[in-house]
Amino acid sequence: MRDDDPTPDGGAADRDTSDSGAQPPDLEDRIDRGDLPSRRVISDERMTQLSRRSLLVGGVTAAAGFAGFRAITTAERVGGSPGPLRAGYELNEDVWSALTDIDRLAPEFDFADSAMPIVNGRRGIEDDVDVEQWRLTVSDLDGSELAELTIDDVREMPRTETIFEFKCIEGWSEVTSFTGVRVSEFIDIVAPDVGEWAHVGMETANGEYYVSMDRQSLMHPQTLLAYDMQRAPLTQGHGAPLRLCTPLKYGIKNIRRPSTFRFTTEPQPDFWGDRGYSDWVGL
Amino acid sequence: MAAVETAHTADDEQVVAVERHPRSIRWMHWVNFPLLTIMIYSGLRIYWAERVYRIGLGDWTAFMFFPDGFNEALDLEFRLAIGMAWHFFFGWLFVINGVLYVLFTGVSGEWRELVPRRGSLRRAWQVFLHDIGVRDEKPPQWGMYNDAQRLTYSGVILMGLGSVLTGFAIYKPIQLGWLLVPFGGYQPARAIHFVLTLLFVGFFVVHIVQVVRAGWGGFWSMVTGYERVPAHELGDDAHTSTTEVER
Repeated sequence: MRDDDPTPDGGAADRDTSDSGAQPPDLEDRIDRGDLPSRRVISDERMTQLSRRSLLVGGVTAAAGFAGFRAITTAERVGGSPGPLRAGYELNEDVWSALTDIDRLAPEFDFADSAMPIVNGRRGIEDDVDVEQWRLTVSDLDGSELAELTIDDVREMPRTETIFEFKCIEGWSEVTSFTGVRVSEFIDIVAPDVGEWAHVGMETANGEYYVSMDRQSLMHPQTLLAYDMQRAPLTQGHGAPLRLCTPLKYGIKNIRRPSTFRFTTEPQPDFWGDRGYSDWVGL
Repeated sequence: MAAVETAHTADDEQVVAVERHPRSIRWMHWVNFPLLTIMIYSGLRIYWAERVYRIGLGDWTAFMFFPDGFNEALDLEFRLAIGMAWHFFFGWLFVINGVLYVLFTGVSGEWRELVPRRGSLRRAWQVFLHDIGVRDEKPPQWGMYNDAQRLTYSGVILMGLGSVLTGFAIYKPIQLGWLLVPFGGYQPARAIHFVLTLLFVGFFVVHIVQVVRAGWGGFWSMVTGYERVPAHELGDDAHTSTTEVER
């Protein structure tokens, strides 16, 4: 069967159609000699030529493949990944974030099907906090303070409960109930006149954990600043008294006990984004 | 058989070479080898981050996927980010190669060599019995591949489709949430993705064993496209021409 042969059984007319013996006697199908692709026959000398050529082509291709592999693995790291991979990774995430239909809702579940997830480390919140002393500082595009809030201030805002399948980037997931204020409503109350922002940077008090969040994900109706999990106040491990909660991203974006909420025009430092993960990590 | 000019071996046996695999098939086959290797290796690094699958019952575990020695030997530990980078980029190349392969197989007529036929299941079982030495008689086959091969080579295409669909479902469970429905949800899709990977590895092992058993000529035909045969054996095959031998 030749690649440039336009018909699937090209050459059938030229073929010897005499019975050559190997027809399986118990096949019930009607046997049609034109059924299978025809195969060319070449001389032994031509075969030797082809073998040599294949060795050359194969060798060059394999060498090129190995060279490409080495180039990737030895390339300078960008944000924790070899440069070419980071570029490919970000291209992939750019494509997906552009295709994102932000109106899609994450599936929601009944409270009866929900449970507390594990505490997956205490990065940024190693020490327990006195929830009465905790403050959330909201700042404008120029860095000036817009508001300083206590947990009681946040609890007075309109309440929303979202019960969704929380997904850790490691692979595990848990259907969990989160209650808090929608970020979109929080912004309406706290920063109604903020300028054209595109990202928000949020950091823990000790600065050791921090995320960058894009505007459209923050404004999504299922994204909350949450103070309850499973209808009880957040435990210290889960980020008391407040955490970001969004089903649109992996858990790494759901920062626990942020102290800052900074409107910006540019993407902000992101702890795991600097360590080889994409900044988008959207679901 | 028409008169042809061919090489003669020492005992005056004419040797020719018959076409087995078109060029496109060969390229896509060999490109798939490193691509699938990258997908499985990077996938193992992703899996390591939550390595929960096991063969067991209740509290008793017969086998853990995977033992610590395996994870260390393959440098899988704490490589989630780099695993994802390789997986999500080369995944596209794997999908493109797979789609091109299916399209070419369809358009070229090569699919007739691959798809199972009525009675394939029964004859495939007979092939297996023959291969393990239990059955003397080799069941008849139609074309290049026996029925066990037909089932397997068609099966891996379905497996590939399953891996790609479950892969996208767990990669974008909200944007492609509808894709989770046939698999029963996020964790089930993840498990199916893992099982299919095990099946791919199993296929690979059997494939290599069979290629070795079939001999160098078969392997070399997937490189050059042709396999040397004694000229008098032409015509035993249902679709070789026994007329003109190309120089």
